[in-house]
Amino acid sequence: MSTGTSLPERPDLSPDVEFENRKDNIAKVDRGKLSAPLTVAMVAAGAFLAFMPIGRSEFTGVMWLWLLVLAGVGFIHLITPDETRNGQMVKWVAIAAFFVWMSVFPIGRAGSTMTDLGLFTIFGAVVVGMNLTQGFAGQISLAQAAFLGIGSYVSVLLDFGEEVSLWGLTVNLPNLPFLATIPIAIGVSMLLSILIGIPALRVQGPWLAFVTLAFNLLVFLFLNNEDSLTRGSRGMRVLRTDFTLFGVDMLPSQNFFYVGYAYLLFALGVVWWIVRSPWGRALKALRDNPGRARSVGVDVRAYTLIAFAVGSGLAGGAGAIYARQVEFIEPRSFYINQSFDFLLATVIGGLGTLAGPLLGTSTITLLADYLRFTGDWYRVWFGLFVMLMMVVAPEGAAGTYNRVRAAIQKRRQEES
Amino acid sequence: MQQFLQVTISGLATGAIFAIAAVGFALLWQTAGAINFAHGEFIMVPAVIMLTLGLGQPTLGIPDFVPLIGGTNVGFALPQIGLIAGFALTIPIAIFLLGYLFKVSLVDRLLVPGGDDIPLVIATIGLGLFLREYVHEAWSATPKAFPSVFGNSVWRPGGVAITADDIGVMVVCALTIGALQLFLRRTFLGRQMQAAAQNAETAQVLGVPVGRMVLLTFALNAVLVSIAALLVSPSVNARWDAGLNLGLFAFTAAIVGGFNEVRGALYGGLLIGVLQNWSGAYVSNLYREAAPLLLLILVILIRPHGLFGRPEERRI
Repeated sequence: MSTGTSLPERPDLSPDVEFENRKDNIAKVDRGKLSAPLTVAMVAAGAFLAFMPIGRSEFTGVMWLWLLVLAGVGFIHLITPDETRNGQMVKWVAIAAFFVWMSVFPIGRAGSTMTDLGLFTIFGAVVVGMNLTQGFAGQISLAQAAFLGIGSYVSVLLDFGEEVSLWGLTVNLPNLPFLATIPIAIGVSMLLSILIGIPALRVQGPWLAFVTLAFNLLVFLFLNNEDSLTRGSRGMRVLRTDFTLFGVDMLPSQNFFYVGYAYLLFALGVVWWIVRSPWGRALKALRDNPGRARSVGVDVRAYTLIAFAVGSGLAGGAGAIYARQVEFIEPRSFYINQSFDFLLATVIGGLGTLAGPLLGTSTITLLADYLRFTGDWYRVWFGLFVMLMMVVAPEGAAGTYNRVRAAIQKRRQEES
Repeated sequence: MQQFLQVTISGLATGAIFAIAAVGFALLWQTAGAINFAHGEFIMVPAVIMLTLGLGQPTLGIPDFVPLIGGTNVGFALPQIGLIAGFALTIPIAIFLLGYLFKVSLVDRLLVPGGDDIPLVIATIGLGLFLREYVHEAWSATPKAFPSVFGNSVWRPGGVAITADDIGVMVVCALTIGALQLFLRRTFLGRQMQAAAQNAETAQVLGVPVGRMVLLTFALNAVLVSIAALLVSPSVNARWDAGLNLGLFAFTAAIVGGFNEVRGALYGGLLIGVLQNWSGAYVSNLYREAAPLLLLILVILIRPHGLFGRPEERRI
């Protein structure tokens, strides 16, 4: 999302400045041209996927339709200048249309399509959280699956309210309603992330990535080994029978979908609010130029830590909903692989944007489904794809889009 | 007491292997500024190549490399030339694939001077995923037994069982690290490498071919991971997912020991190997792998430059 409210500044007409600007423009336009082959490749890949007869379900059909709509809206947005009233309208109408469409979509649908779509909203929220840590605070967290797991187990255990024992300590857990466990899941995840974030963020460098990787393994070992608390590798069943929220039966997945959907909106809202707040501006300054941000008095460590905590907290809350969506949790679901998948979704969508995580999550879900005919080979292609992407377009899909758009707008301004 | 000695000795042997892997990781980080999240896979891949070339195992199915055509496995077995010969053949392959190709295709493109290191970190995570899943699909999804080059004989002086493998591993590790230290401290080439690691610009001005030194580091790393693969695989087997833990322990050793010293990585590796075995024997076997990770978090909290390293100094 670019800030569209600022008017273009009156150009300074002194010759030197004009020369500087033009040089700047040329550089930008050239970079825009560079991504043309990439766009062609992406369109070709899209066409390939669309006409592939294998592995298509109703869910992938839906996702594909959505990507098409997104591409159409994106194209209109691409050629409409942001500063005009039309440009603003296109943007907001597109955003509103997407959310209205998502809201009415489940009516009259059932079964695996809704389960898949529900998972999409939950993973979307996790990736939105990760994007805050990575895109805005510039730190890599590889424990997002661990926080998802922590949220799941905390919420389910508090919901069951059974007597559990851990390391010789027996506790009678309270039996809380589902909605009350979500803030607790978020709180526990945030607290743990602060505990591991404080040492990791003390020094410059990618320490958070190392520490979170270790943390994810520790959490997995704990969930797998503490049989009396988590039932170990046998997992826990979390059925949605006899489960109502506000008088609505949550057993049908088209009803439960709205819980995940609401949470995704909540996650987007939180990140949107953070980015707009003065605090978010400091984060942005940090992302764009850490040295300068530090020199004007931004406490780098505190801001990064809070961004990491919020990102992890969002994953924790998503875990509470995830457990009910799949109705079964086991430690394997929260292993390091899952964290890597979240990382890939974040990177593919584009760092530091609001639309990126949704784009990335849907691309990953779609790719996984379409490439399923290759057996497990799709993970091999994923790996290659990520490396290629880092070399060709490290900003991700949304970032590349913004770059192309900026180039087009610049050129248009130059012509007029 | 007997059990204590037993556990400690085998821990030292495992730790020595971690140390070799950690030295490679630290070398790349210091000289090229490249943080390699696929380091564990860099140890797994040579083990797979060694087993395939040396013992012809499992039979290769070439069409499996092209998933679109389908998995018709036209298998053919390679002649069995023995593990040592396989190791010798692996080294040049590893130098090319894990050294040269890795440097040219990823590191050189992604590590711009003064730029962000996050793209390279993500790309190496992608590389790790690629190598892991590639071996899983194209080679074998089940672990393959990997024989020890030192044989299976066991001695029992005073009731403590010492295997030939433990002794062999420790001797080879000591020789490797000793040779590396001599190379870095005493030879002209080694001094040039150190200069390139400490201050690339000054070294360039003084006539050190920095680019070539960096390339040499990548080659050295490839040799080190090949040695680590040969030594560690008898205990972890040749398997596609071995790299996850190995990589984690290698960089834990590097960080715990302090990555600006070869000696630091050595002590770090030994410490982690022993600690892992002690916690497995005396605390809980379920949490064997947890102890080094807790140590990692603790060290980063208290001494981020490592137990044996010095802050703000680049040295190899």
